Amino acid sequence: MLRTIVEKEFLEKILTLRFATALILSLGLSIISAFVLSNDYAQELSDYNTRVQLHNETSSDASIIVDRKPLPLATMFHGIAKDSAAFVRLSTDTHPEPGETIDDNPLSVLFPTVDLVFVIGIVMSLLAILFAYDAVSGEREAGTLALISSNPVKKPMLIFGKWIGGYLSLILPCSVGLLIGLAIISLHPMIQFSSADWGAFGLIFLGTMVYLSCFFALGVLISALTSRSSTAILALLFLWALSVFVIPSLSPSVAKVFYEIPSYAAQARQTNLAVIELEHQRRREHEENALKVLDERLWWDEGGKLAGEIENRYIEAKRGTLSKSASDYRRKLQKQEQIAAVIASVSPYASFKLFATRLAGTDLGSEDKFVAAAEHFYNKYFEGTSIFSASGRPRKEKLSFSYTEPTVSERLKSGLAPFIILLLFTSLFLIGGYVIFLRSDVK
Amino acid sequence: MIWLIAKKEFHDNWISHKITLAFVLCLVLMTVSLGLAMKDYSDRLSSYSLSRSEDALFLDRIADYVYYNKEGEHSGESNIGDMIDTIGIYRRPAELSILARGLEDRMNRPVRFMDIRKLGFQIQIDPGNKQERNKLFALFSPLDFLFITKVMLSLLTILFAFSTIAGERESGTLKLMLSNPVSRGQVLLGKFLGGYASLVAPFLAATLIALLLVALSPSIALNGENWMRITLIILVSLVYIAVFFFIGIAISALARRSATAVLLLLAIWVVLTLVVPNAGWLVAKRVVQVPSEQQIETEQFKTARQIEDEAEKKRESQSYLPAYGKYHVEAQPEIKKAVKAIEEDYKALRQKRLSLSQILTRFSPVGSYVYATVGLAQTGIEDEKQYYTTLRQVEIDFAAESERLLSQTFGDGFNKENPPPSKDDPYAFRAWVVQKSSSIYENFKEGFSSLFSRTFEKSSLSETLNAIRLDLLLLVLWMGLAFVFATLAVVRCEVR
Repeated sequence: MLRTIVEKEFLEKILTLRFATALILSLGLSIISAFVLSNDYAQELSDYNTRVQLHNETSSDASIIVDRKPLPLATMFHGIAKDSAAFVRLSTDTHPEPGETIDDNPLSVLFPTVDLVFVIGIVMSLLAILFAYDAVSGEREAGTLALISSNPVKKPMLIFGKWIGGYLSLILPCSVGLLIGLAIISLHPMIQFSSADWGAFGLIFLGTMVYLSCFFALGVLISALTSRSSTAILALLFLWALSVFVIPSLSPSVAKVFYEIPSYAAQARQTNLAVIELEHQRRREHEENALKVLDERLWWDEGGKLAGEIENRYIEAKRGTLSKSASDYRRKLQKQEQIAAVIASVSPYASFKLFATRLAGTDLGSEDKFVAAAEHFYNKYFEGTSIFSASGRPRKEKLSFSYTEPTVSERLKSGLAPFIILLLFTSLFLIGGYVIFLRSDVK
Repeated sequence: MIWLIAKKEFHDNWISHKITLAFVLCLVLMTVSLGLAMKDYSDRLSSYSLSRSEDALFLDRIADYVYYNKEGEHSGESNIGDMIDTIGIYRRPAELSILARGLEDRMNRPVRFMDIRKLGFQIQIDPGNKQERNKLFALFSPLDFLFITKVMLSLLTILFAFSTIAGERESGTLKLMLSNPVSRGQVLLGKFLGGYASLVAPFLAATLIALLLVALSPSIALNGENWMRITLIILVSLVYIAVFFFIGIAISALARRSATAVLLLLAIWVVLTLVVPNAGWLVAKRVVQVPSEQQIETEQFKTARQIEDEAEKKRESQSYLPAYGKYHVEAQPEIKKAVKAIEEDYKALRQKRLSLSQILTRFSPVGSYVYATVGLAQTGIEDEKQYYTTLRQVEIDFAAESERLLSQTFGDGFNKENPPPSKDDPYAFRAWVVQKSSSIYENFKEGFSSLFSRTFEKSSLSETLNAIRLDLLLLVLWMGLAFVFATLAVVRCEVR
């Protein structure tokens, strides 16, 4: 009996314009974004190669710039990739400075580019809602729910059939779209997926299925609650908006309440004052030194040596102050970001985004890992050189920098929590829908 | 008769709680958005005031560097290739950025203050530094009024409109209505008026409540012109909603079932909100090939190096800059000219690409709506252009001023009035050096402080209206087109 109901639900959805539209929408969006994203990636990769070449040519034993290779998954699931450091400037006289590539196009701010997180998280979840909103209330309105119930069919059977049949009819267009999009991306000549990339994408795909089932289950739940479909859809839109927009944008502010940090400008001012103090100190020492040279009638090179020592001390101190304040602030920001991420995961959309970006390596912590690796390299590269022994001439033996992104299992570990939250939400909505449907009226 | 239909439509929506739900949705979104935006605005304002006060600190620090820029006369010569620091020459945050963020974040560029050996002080605009912002904003983009209307309101409109005709057809009441002496056109207008009112009423109510909170808030002060602009933004939003409503009615009439209608409308919504705007930019990128910033920098670097190498053939230089190579003072003017020419070409290409993409994105009402709203909020493309023009002017003035100051102080001027004592008396010579340094410092401080206090003018209301008049026209045109579409659909549709 269950099988019959599932078949009925499935066919009912498929053999309509509704399904065709969903298929076309999903395919269309996936294909278009696949082309766009793969071209983006090709551009980024060639920019990266140009940068690396330039940096190699201009590296010396006083300064070097290390770059981060863009990954194909990063272009499919943006995360913070567009806003994070693409390279780090390392030089003897200052602390490591992360730098970003410049985006000169104002339209990318006004009309943000669409990545797969957007397509799945926003458009496909809307599709899920639109497939589910009239699952129960529509049949109730059309009178067919009463008809079915007059048959020897148990209510649990009905709701199971609706879930399975409807969900299958939803994920069919969605997964076809995603897989074709993936195929297009991987067929691009410049793009090479490593086995880690395939693995990560597979896991994200799994997460997508759970995410869509979450919204589908919610849709069926609300549908069972209301008597009119048009009310159901509005209530669902409200909940959807809450999940996709309200909660995520509120989370940084709520996190601020729990964990307050000074503004960047205030922190910069503190650092400024500390550096000024160092500069005054340096000036004082130079004055004393100059007088000393005159008083003791030192030779020019002796005075120069003393001045050099003063400079060294000053630069070491300045570098230490700047890097300490930068890393302190960075740590505080990180903690705040983590708290905000936890708060945001109350929303299924945010949990999905966190899951996908963590698996793709474009999550909140991804930049820090790269910068940390650069800082580690900094210590190795400049071991034993002081600012005055570093001449700026090309280094004789080349130490090269390589950064390996975290492995799939590491990324999965960090992405496990939001995945579990998604599962919890889905179970909650399924149980809720079950209970409500069983208690509800069929008319 | 139209009035009757409209009243009935409104009543239906009220009974089914659609209006209440819409009101709650709009209220939650508007208040959350404006609340967060105001907090963010006051943070930005205090950062802005703080950075203005940094200027005084910064000028003091020039003293330390000037003191050591002694061209070899002083044994404590510093590493002059040092970049002193990044100072902020900031634009005061636009008040209405609380409604439409737009390009606001791109108009807060810190400025690098460089002292290149023997060239004096120069400023270089550092376009990148995003280290300041909480990266969470990159993951979950902030929710402004523009976004709410562009995305949520248009979706809400679709959900109000999709069952206007199809729903009545399914429940059988459409043919009942039309069996009365009422024309289809009257049905269309009545349904539009009733449905539009039941959507706009909660939207306006929620917006006005949220704006009341803004007016009462101490963290932001809005003047008369701001309120004028806000009114215009709301009016533009009402036109935008009307466009989608007419489209919704049209599809509702054409589709056989309301469930189909809503999906078709979603597809149309995706096309208008996502595909066309993104496609506009992408097609323009294809048609007008612009090299990336990276490539331009590389080209500039190569050209500079080429000129330097040629100068090396004429005269061997002892100056060497890290990450740059050998350096010749006499070659600098030629290098500057060549680099500037490359920059100008690049800018022209970028402008061409921008114009093309603006034209293409206007193929959707969403494009025009965005341009009109960010323009009114003073965070639009024209405002960014104005910002950059001012910034470039500051750069030019800065360079000119520092050249003047340098020639004044390192030139003969000071030396004529205060001839250096003989180097046989080292103490006297040192005293002269100290005096020269502080005179340089005083001059620089005076010269630069006027540059630092440069304010960024924002566009006036008439300038804004002039800039967005095309988009305003297009929106009205879209509304007309959608109305025609709806009329045709309703006049020709099936009633059974």
